[in-house]
Amino acid sequence: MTALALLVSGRVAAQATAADDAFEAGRLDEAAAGYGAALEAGGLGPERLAHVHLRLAELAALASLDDEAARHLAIALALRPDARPSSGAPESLRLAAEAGPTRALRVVLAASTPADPVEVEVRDAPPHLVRTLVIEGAGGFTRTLPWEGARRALRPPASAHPLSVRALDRHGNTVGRAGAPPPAAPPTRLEPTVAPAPDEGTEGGGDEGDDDGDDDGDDDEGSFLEDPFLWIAIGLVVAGAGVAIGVSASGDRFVVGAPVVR
Amino acid sequence: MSSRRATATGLAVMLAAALSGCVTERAVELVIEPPRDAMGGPAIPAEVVAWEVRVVRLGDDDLCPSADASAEARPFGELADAQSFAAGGASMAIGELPAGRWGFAAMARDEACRPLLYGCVATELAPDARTIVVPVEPVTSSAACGCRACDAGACVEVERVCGD
Repeated sequence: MTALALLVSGRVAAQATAADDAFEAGRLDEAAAGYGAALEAGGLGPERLAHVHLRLAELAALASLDDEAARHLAIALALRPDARPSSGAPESLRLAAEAGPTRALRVVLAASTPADPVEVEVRDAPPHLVRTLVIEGAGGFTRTLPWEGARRALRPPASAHPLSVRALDRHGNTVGRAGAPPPAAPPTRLEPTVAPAPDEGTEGGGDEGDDDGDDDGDDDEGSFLEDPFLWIAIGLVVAGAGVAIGVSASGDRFVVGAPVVR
Repeated sequence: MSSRRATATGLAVMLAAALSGCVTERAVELVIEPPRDAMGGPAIPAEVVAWEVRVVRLGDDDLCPSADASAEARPFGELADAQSFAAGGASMAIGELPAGRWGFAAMARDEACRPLLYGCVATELAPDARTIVVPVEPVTSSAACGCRACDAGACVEVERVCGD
């Protein structure tokens, strides 16, 4: 089951990645199809889902489908209020994003004590976005409830605590979570991109052992490219970029539970 | 070190660093701590009928709002969550908050919504955050709900900010 989930997750990530590549290359029809397929396949998390909806908003705005653009933008901003369209997006969309909400969609799980009923709720969600709530707990406890806009209550066995709840859209994408942290998910593609590394072929000549320093002359371009310090510097820059990507893509989310007085 | 080896090492480090990028969810407990009685238990005045909790995003140098400002829901920071729950009743989970500096304010009110206990903690949500304790102390204030209505100790609508 886990292997299947990983396989599907990988396929969805590949679809979204291909759509990103098409979008950046200006192949907008291909990008729209790719994002749509990734969306409908389900399995996206909130971050990636926000990105896909933002791109779909941009594509719809570029096609003058204003209602469609507004709908996708509202979802993207509900998931990530700081999400902003790319610089190539229509001005109207960028202004709409600036005027968007400051509070993200939130899933809340109230479970003061194991003896009390558990209440689950979704706040600040665009209409019709959240369709299902999946409540999971220890010992394989799982309940799936339809979300119709009103707080839901259930009484799981005490052994099921701690609980977690995921809110899903109609395709099964996760739009929010609350409660006990879910099992670690496999890493997915990172958003930031770096410039491609220099082509090894430009080094030329197959001269691998160029550390001896007795070059032909500094005015020779080939000698410049063969300078080991140049490549060491490039290696360090690339490593630094990788660390920067890792740091920027890392982070902590804090899920604050129900206040208790004691 | 050969030139290609240096570049390959850089690429390997970049890949390792990039793959290590991930988001970690951390559960944080929020505890409201009233004064203690002689037996060490919570000394909550009998007049307390409801609690109000407000969570606001703070700037780097911001301190907590005063009891009056919090009681009257005056604009302060960026309100992320507000809730009211009956004394002895169930509260709602606050949910997900991004890393950063936050103010957690808790207030006990009587039937007329007068503040009786108040406390606020300004804290950084950092990876080592596990439990946030908000000590509350007796206050004397004529403030009530500000622009909000008082309904049996609860200010409604609790999430409203007065003066916005």
